[in-house]
Amino acid sequence: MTDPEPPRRMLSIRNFSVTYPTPAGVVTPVINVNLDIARNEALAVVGESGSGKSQLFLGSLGLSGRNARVTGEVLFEGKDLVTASERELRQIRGRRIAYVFQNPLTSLNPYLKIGTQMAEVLARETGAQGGHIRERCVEALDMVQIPEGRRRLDMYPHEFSGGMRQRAMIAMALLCKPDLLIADEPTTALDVTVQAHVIDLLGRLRRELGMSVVLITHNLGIVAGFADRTAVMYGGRVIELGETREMIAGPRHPYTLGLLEAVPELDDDIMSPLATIPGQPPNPLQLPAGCTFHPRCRIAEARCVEDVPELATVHAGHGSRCIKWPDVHP
Amino acid sequence: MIADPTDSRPLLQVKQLGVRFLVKGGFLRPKKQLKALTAIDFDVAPGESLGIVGETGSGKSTLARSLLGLVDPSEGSILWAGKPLERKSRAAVRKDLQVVFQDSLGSLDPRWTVGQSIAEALTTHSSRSASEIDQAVQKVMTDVGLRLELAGRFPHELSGGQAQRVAIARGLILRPRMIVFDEPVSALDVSTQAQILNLIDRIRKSEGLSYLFISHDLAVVRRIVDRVLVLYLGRIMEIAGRDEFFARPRHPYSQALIAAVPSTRGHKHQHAVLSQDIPSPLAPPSGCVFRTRCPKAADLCAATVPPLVENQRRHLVACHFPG
Repeated sequence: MTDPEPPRRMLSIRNFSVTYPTPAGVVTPVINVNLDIARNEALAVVGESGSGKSQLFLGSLGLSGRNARVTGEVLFEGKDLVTASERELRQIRGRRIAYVFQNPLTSLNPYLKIGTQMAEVLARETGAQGGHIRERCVEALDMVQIPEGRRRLDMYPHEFSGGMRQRAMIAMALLCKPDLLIADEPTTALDVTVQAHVIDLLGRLRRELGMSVVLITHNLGIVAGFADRTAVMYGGRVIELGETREMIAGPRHPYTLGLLEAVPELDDDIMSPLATIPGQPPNPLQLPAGCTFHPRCRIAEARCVEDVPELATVHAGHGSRCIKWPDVHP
Repeated sequence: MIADPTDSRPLLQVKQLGVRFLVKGGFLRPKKQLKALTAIDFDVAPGESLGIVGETGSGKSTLARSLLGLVDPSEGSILWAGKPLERKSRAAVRKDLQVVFQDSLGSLDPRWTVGQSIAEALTTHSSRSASEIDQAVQKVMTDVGLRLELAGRFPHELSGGQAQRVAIARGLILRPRMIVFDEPVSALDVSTQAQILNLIDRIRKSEGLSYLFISHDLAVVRRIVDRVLVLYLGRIMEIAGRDEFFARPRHPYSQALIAAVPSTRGHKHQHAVLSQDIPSPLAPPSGCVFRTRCPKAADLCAATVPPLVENQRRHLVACHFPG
């Protein structure tokens, strides 16, 4: 599948794989992924635990474990991050590409005031000093709608609510005005009310700051109003990729369809049980042969066990790694 | 107070329950009082399931903990099958009233096998032979959809969904009359969540079980409860039957919770999404506790606490301007 407007690409992931040796054998959490992120685009990457969605982006930024073997290309403004030195990566990570982790409590230092932690980021990444720093921190808190920023800077992480901590993490990521923000399950531990608010906020920041945003999540329900495009991952591969609206209206991979049907909605018919995907995600040490999803698939047949399906073009901009994609119906 | 007309004796009655904590005020500062729950009043009939809904800080978990005897009420009372639930009667009730927590992996002993963990309650609460216990463990594992070979595994070898099934099996093995589910699916992937929700629904139908289902997600609650109770800063905002509640939510807070439910079908939000955070329970707003985030708040709301008022459809709401 080709990108319709190649010049707008900001991050290009090409034939990218991550492999770890473990005592029990070799594990490949990311297998041959191709993905482009355009300037100012909102991309959602969706999958269950262990699908490789976090490993893909940690690996792209050189944050895989020391023993990982990373292959392929990750082009950021023409620079290949896979072959870049640690020094070069540090110029990009945090400044140009910011990563917001799932659990703000473990990412924030409980002994330091929020303001101290934010100032540290600014000083390290931009060399800013003096009176400006506090102003810029207040401004960043304001951007994520944390009121009374001046007072909040003197508070400790435990004095913030869960939603406010997550927003403070986003504020920290915004300090260096990154071109790309990667938010890894930013709403999973939060109340639905706060979830809705954080997603709205990411959408607004992207529009106002002209950033690209990658939202990593297991819940297809939250991507609908947010992402331009969605990539669904399973067993380390992107198994469906396309415009979010189109994919949600007509998923072309049985796994995407299963994920969609598993989201409880307020207008479901509650007399019938919630649709589920039978079985468990694959064991990374023993990935099934052929299509990794075939053991859980309702429409699998003999040829699904033979070869790993290529990403078939449903039409321009929409691909599915299912040889039976025309047969996928709700 | 509402009582189900088909059953004269509720299994659980909570009457004007209040729970207060003393919180350290800092060096040489006086202790502050935190009202975790105020005037909580509701019944649960045998076989009924009640959803308890609210954000973090609304008092949902304190309510669960006081039912389980982990927190002492400061006011009011809790009746189990018509009798006051007191410290000394807890042990007898414990068998009938079980709990499943959100962090199921954390509630399993890492040194025990799955089989041992599931059997624990039976070995504590009954004097059955080893083979009877084995049989009961196998039956309950089958009921919750756990493969029997998992009995010899340790908690760290389980997936999140399997660990939650083990926790449910532990709750079920004594054949209790009621289970308190405290956010049992919040930490799970969507696909696993669907499996666990269907499991809970199936068990309830086959066992005639009552349960309290604590959650912040109304789309989840809607699938598996008969009635909904909405809590905010330790007070009841609304109680109604499920269909009535979702057809006509009357409290602005309930309406906001419904609006926040994510949808893949691209629904337009009918009501505004709440923007601010829940206020600190150490300094709750005067009058109606929800007024600081309420789109309808007026002077009256700051002055008077709205009483919980019931209409003809057995729908209770605590709001001066209900929808």
